[in-house]
Amino acid sequence: MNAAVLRLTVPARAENVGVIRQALAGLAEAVEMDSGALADLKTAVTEACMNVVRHAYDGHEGPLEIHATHNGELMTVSVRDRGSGIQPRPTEPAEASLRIGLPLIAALSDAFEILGGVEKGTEIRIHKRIWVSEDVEADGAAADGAGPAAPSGTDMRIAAGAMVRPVLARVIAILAARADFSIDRLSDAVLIGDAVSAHAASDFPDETVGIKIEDEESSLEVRIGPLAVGAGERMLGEMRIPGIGASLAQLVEETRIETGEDGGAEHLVLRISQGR
Amino acid sequence: MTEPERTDGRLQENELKVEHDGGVEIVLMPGEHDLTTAASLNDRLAALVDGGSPVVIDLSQTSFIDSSILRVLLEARRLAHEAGIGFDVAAGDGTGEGVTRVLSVTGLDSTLPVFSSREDAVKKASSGPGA
Repeated sequence: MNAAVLRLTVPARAENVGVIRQALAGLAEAVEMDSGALADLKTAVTEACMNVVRHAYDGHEGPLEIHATHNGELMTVSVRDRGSGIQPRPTEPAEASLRIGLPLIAALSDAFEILGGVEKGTEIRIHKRIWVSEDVEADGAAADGAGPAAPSGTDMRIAAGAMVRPVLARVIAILAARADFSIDRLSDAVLIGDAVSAHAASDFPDETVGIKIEDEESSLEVRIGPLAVGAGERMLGEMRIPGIGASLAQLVEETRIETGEDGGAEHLVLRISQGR
Repeated sequence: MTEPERTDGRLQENELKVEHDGGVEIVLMPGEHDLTTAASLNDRLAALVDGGSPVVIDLSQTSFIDSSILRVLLEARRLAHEAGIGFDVAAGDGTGEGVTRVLSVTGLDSTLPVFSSREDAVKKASSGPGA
């Protein structure tokens, strides 16, 4: 059985594909994936993502969804759009010289599938062995993702556990770099991510860590949740550094806890700016 | 904590750098390059080819390229050769595993070809577009 380890939804823009590569690198680190296998997977996933960026939404912006699972032997990454499906159309002259995206996916994956239909969006599912030598049967098991609304930032769901820290550290780092953070502030942002990663899984419903990061011109807003009631305060408490009286929360411009309308699940929101 | 410096990709500098060796323009492509940087690479290479000097693409600091970058390199090479200008590609020890794989599965490592040293690529580019 495949464990769903990462869901990531970003606006379908070319600049976000680098974020996806960083998230994959984090996953690969956690499962100790072979570096050559990761290199192939990054290229295959990039080609699938760029296909979404260029063709899925015909001029308007929609979501680009990544769903990664692994079964200990095989990493499966689904790249999905909510567009109008694959349309038969003549090749644009500018692209005629080299259409190698799909052949690259075929050459660099151990197996791949294309799913979908008209008005159903398209999913390219890429399977890659975590280790190169093992003989493993492809076993696709991706479940359906979230709704079709275009996200305003990077929306992730990561299975609680060893995956969270490397994925979150890399994604925060690249978003902070993109927002022109200094190396010091970038390190601060990654420290905050590490503190979130270390938090008890039991405060996240379904043991899935939900993180939404809105990246603006010069700041990141990190929205953590849904969380169990009281977990936001606990998480802030855990950021205090024993014996010093300081807290990692001091590295952050703004912290707030948003309570759900029904008094249920809450979110912890942290705003980290480029300079202080 | 995970050091941000350890992560690969865009955290590295990915600005194009142009160096000169004799009469050859050498374009370094550090970091990751994909559709995000393809247009600026295309413009830069078109301007260099317009300038009439031989061009060498140095991939020794390149950690990632996708098919849009391959397309830009092939198109620039075609324009250079049409103009009678040498255009060659070099890899090096710092070339990312993914870059090497993409060049090999597409066969471009032998059809371009990709030289294993910058010196060889410079020498070849100086001698013009001939095979």
